[in-house]
Amino acid sequence: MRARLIIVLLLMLAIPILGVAWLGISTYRNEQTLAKHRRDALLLDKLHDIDDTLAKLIAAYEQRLQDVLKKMEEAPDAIRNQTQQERLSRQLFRLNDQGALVFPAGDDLSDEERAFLTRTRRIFQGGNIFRKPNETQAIQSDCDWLVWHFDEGVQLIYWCAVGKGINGVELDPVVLAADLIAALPEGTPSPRKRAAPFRIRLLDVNDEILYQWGDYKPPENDVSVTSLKPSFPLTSFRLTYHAVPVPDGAFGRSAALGLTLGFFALLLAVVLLGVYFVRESSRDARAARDRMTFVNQVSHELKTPLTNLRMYAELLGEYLEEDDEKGHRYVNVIVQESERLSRLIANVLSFARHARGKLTIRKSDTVPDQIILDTVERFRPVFEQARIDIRLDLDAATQRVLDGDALAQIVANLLSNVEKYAVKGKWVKIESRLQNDRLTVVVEDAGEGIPAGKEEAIFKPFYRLSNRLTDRAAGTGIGLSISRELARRHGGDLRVVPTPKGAAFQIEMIAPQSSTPKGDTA
Amino acid sequence: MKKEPKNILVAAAVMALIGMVLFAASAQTKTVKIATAIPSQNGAVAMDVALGTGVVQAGKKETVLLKVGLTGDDLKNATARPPVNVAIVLDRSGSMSGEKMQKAKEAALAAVERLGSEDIVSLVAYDDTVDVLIPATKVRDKAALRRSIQKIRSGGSTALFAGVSKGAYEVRKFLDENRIGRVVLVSDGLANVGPSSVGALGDLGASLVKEGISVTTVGLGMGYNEDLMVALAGRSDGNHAFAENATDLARIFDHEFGDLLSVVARNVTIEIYLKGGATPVRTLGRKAVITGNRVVSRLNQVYAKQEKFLLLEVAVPASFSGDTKEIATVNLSYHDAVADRSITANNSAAIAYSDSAAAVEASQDRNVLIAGAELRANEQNKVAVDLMDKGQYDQAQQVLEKNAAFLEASSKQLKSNRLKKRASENRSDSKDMKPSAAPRRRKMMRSKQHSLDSQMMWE
Repeated sequence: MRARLIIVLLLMLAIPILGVAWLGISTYRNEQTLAKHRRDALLLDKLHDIDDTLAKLIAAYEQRLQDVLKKMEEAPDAIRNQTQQERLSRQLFRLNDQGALVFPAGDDLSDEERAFLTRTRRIFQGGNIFRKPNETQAIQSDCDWLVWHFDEGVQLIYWCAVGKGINGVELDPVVLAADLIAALPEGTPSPRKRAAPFRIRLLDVNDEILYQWGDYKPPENDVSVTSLKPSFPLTSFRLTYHAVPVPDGAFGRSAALGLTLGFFALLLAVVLLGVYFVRESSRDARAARDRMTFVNQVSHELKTPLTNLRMYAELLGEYLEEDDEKGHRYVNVIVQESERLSRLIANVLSFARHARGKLTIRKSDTVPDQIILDTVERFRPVFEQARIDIRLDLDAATQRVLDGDALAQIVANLLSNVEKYAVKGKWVKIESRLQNDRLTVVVEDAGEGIPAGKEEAIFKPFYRLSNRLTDRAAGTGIGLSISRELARRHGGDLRVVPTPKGAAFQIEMIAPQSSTPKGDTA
Repeated sequence: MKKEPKNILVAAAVMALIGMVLFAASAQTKTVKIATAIPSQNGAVAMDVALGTGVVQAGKKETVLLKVGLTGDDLKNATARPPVNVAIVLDRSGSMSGEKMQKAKEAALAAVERLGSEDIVSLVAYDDTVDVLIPATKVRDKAALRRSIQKIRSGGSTALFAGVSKGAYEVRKFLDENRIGRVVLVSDGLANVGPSSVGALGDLGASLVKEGISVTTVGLGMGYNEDLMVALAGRSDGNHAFAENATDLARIFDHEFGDLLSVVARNVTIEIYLKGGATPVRTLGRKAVITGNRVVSRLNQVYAKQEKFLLLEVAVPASFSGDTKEIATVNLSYHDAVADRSITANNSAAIAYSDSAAAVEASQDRNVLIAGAELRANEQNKVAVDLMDKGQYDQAQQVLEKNAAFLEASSKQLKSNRLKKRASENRSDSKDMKPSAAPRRRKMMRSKQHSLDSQMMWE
């Protein structure tokens, strides 16, 4: 029974626990994805910050170059001087209002100027690609960048519309590279132990590393965690972020930790609850057992003095004069009361034995009617006093094999109940019959009867129909329980049988004929 | 009186004739001498314009050498030397560990010791990343600077371009007209992170000299790329030195800082306008921008008591004997670092035409012709290196031997010990053409070539 209870309990608990576990796992999965996205967004932000730094450099360039272009000289040699003085410019050039190149142009060109023309021939061939801005543009800026890809790489050209023509400058790519490098952070950042190692790279148009910084050394052909194309006009470059590869499981680790701890805490709580519950119930059982043991001990202890009490009472009875009515009456009271005590003790001891699983019956050759008569005799004084009429209809006078003490105990319990609960009925009837091996004894009274629906309940241990202290009866509630048990030990039962008035209890026992018959066989 | 007076008359006439001829002859040479420019001194730089031969053969087109020489004034006359703004850029890649790093640090420390409280110094160290160990700062707390230098540890690969860029950025912070800007680079390896080609590093040098920053490159050991280091130095008007052993670093830094602390002029521009039908052919050694008849060359600095020059081959038109032409106007502008002001000066050159070979020979300027021979031989020396690179060792050997012969002949003709020395150098270059000797020989040859092109006084 206990095992079944535990299984049910476990099932009851398993369902919510599994539910919580499933919830936890799906939350963890979500946290993982979220954490990974957060990390990537954070790294991308870092790259955007770098892009801002580079954009500032470009803005500074624009300011300076606008100044240079607006002040560009007329005479070729003067322009050459300007080119020489201006570190940002690899070559200055000018277009007229037709879009034709007027400087550098002509025959007396230096080698660098000729190389410039070779590099840029496709730009200037295709007509005036430096369009005038739309009138609709809110901000009137007549300067802009041109990013031109040619064979060996990329040209950055800055131009301004000046007068009717266009003045422009080819940015010195080496100066751009050097200035980008100068603007970017140093190699080893100030050591912050908690920051994870990283490396950021600026790649040029050919995907070669232009510059890098950070304290992490990526292996060959490392794939970047995230990358960003800087804003125009630096779009031919690329920023990449490298870091120690983080296994997917590392994300949402804190969430996983929390969830796992929570789950196990819950599990632990549930287990402890279960343990507590089991211990409590077993404690109750243990307490009951302890009480039983105590009562058993006490009853055993009481048995001996009780036996002495009866014996000496009876001796005293014999000692008294025949005509000492009062004396005899007093002795009878002593005997009756000690009888009652005996019965009580007998019930308790039986119950205790039964509780320990040690209730046994000892069958022997017995005449059932004789047992009944003996038991009735013991109750006669009490019944007389209570003015309960005893009617007997006995027909089980043959010798049978049964536990006579058991039968006596049952009958005594029933009669005791009559005494307690059926006084108003004024009579009790005992009937005994034998049919084949079956002995049937019915004890009937005319009292209040058993309340409807309680016919089975009354056989439960400790069950008493009324607990009211004012009731005359002060029973323990174990009488019927042990009586039924004893009857069942005989292969029979004790039950309530319907009766028009009062209560009727039927004892059934298997009582085979004994091997040495004595008396009539009925 | 009949026969004796007649003899005297004849004698007198002959004497007069001889006298006139002599007079005419010497009068012509006198004219030539006047036509040669007088050295002008105005400010810390003395400019000297000279022609290889002031007299050319009449009747045909000729080529003459025009030399514009700049000599810095002796600093002893100055009250204080101009302050310097120098970034030391050290390679700390893995190959530099051990003695090399140790010696480089010692050299840097010794250099810092020589600087004064008005000088600005910065220190950059690079491997595959770049760290600015001492941001540009005045040399006030030498002990702190020493500590920073000692802290350098060697490690990864080589981001040379980035190292120089960051160094130049530090110099740029305090760049001004009266400070001599310099980046001193020490590297023992190839550049392999970032722009690493000879062209890219040369372009970086050219862009830096526009701002007035020269890069001096020191190649340490056998593993560096000498073409790259020479290009970076050459195009930025800096010095280049080959430190075969780490122990050479101390001496080289000593020389370099000696130069650095003796700058008398900055931002020097030589402008030559050719006229009278003369046209520029090319320059020998130092580079110039030639557009039409205009030749412009820039130097970042001139040192005290050192001569730097520009040698230009000029094609002069044919003319008749006795004609003189002014063929060039030379404008010089620079910032006088001692007086802290801008100075301009000009000069001119003219030639005379003559039928007399003797007159032509007499008009020779030995110094110009020696410089010309030296630089022409330098060109041939470069050709030899190209042949060696292609594996054509025999041809290279022939070129060098021919070069040596040419130099020997010139040294005899021009009575120059210098050329004799160059001849013996070419001879030793031509020996031992084994490929295994190539790295060292090539570095030495490149170093020498650069030294001659830029008129380095040491190395």
